[in-house]
Amino acid sequence: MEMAESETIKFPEWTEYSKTNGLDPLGMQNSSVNLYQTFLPGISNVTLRMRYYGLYAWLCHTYAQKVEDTNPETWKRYIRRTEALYALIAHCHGGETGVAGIEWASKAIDNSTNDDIEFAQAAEPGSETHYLKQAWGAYGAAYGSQIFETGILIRSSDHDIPLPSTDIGEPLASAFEEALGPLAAIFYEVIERGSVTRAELDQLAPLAPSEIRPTSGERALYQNILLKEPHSADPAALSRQLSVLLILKIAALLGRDPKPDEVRWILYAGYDPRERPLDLAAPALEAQRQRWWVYHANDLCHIALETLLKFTLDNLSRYRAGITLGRLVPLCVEQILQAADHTPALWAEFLNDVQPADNAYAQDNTNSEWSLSQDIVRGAGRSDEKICTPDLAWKAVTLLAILHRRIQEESRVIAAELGRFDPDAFRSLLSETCFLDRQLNEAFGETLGRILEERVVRRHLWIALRKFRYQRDYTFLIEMDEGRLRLREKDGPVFTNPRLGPAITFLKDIHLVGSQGLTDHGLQAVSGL
Amino acid sequence: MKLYECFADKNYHTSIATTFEIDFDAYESIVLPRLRGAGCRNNIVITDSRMLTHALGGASVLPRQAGRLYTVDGRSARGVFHPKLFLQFGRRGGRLIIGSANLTASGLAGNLELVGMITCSEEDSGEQRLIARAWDYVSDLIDSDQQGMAGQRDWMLARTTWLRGATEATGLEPLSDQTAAALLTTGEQIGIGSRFATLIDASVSRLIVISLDLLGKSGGAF
Repeated sequence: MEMAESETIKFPEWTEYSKTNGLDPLGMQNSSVNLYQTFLPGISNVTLRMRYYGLYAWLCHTYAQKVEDTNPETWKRYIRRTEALYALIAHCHGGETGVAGIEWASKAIDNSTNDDIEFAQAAEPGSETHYLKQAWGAYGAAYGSQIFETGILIRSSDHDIPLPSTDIGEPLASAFEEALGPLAAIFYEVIERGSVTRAELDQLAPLAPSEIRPTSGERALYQNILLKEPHSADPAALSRQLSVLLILKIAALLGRDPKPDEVRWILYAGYDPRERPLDLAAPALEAQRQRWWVYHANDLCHIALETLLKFTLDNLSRYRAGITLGRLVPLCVEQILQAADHTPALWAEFLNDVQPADNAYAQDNTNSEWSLSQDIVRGAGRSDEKICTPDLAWKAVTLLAILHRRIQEESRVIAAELGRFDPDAFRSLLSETCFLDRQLNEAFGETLGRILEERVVRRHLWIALRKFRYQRDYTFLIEMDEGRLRLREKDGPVFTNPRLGPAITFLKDIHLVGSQGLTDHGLQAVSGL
Repeated sequence: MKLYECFADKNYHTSIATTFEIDFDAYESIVLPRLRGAGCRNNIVITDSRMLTHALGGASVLPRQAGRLYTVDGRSARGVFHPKLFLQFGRRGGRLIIGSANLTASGLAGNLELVGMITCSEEDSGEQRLIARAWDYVSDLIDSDQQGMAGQRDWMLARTTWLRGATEATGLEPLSDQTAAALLTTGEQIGIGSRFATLIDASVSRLIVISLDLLGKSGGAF
């Protein structure tokens, strides 16, 4: 057929390809996340300052009293104006961290040439000059769910505007207002007005997150939320109380404010690096520490396997045309074995040879879990520039064996915490040590090969495909192409973040922990335990 | 175009996919659920026989639904069996997706692939003729000795009455969007390259030759 002059060829088109920075390449971090979510309910990794809890309680109470509009859009506007103003106050006060919209506030104040700083426009939902992109501000993105979790706010059966609960929310709103004194009326008036003068910002400085007064009723109520003996029917509140008490105990042990990493390591090891024991007299506290032990051991387990993934990816990167799995695995195993002092015959023999440190947090013992994981994360971290050497891969295998041995020898009850997870979707310390139990009398090299093939490469492919199927996230680090494995991207070991940072900040905000460890309020809170 | 989303389109009862490489986990997790969710429940996959053996030998997760929810078969060719056609039939129309994408996770979403797609109704059109031509090519790949697959073919034909009367394309066909297309397949006396050249009726001012070492030094695919 002759093609008419007006006709053009129907060209094919390029497909869109997906690219997402995936997390949890082995689907093991999710079991850690599920665990830590039960340790500090009511606090999240994005709830950064305690005083927001009182701020929202007060706003909710004041809105119900003065605005009485059940239109969610009106409520959203009040939330956004309050948060924007709070950011301006915090910036003006100075030295504040963890305040939503503080970067916007800095620019708004610096760029304003007159005395009045207008914030209504930036707070308007959908505004292009927004103080915060999220539609419902920090309330929607971070605090709302946690404030409901702690029982400060409750849902209304008549409308969509939350209400302060009578037992926690209303007293907190009153205490917040009382702490503000005459500033409460000014604060509300400025929210309504949508603009603030520099003098008013100075005047409102006592509202800043760090300005909770040590002797105030407001502070006492925050402490109640975190530490008051909860009703027995509230396991979430009990878990939060016990975890907060553990942090206070660690602050007492260290004699200063602890860092998040120190807390998790001391809870795991039962000692600080100077061999000082964490003395927990109360059985409930020791039981909670054991839960933290399982969490941290689970994190170490996925760190070890993610290190072996990184080692495999680094090896794969040498074969640009790809390599079959059948060739790649023996190549990796051979290198790991060469890095070992000697090659055990069986996994059982290796398990017998490894000597777990008396103090897992010992920093002067190269075989402590702390030393091994530090070496691994520093050497084989997520950066593409870092290459996982056979020596680091061997350390990961050693770490795996130490965890296995601790569970065998110390009769750790990990099934109570990890047994509830679906073994298909969740791999955990439990599934991996069960696998290693089955490998006890298998040849050592063969076990390493099975770990790399089944627990690392095939597991990653399985996880990535599920993420693609259910979330449409394409997170493959390795691709199977014409029978060969090819590297797509690299990833490395990373610890999960169990909300300890915000929890410690809250304890500082409410004067339980200071630079010398426990304050008088803190000492009082842990006395009698 | 998000290729993997296309499989969720409705109005088709049958799909026949040809591919060089097959990743059963990807097909069963990404393609098949979308097809079946859209009512396309008569599904066939034809793949390169050596790659099928390779996949069943452990290179792919083994199939869990083949023989139950779809059929898979291998085909040999002089070099390799490399066509990537995705042909779908419904009672009132059909669709052809033809391109470079294998039925693997990277082919479906991870790579930049080139894909052309045409759809037709029951009425005669350039698109319908091309789809009839594609069916003629694909039907030769269905082994009539295999009872299951032959049964699937007959089931499809009984529910695709328009296909029986459809005229096959023999060259360039005008399409409804004022463009034109041809389907050039193997199995004819003149090679694909020569037939392609005859369709170019303008002078060639610049010719870009891209050499791909897909199949080693022999370059068997070309």
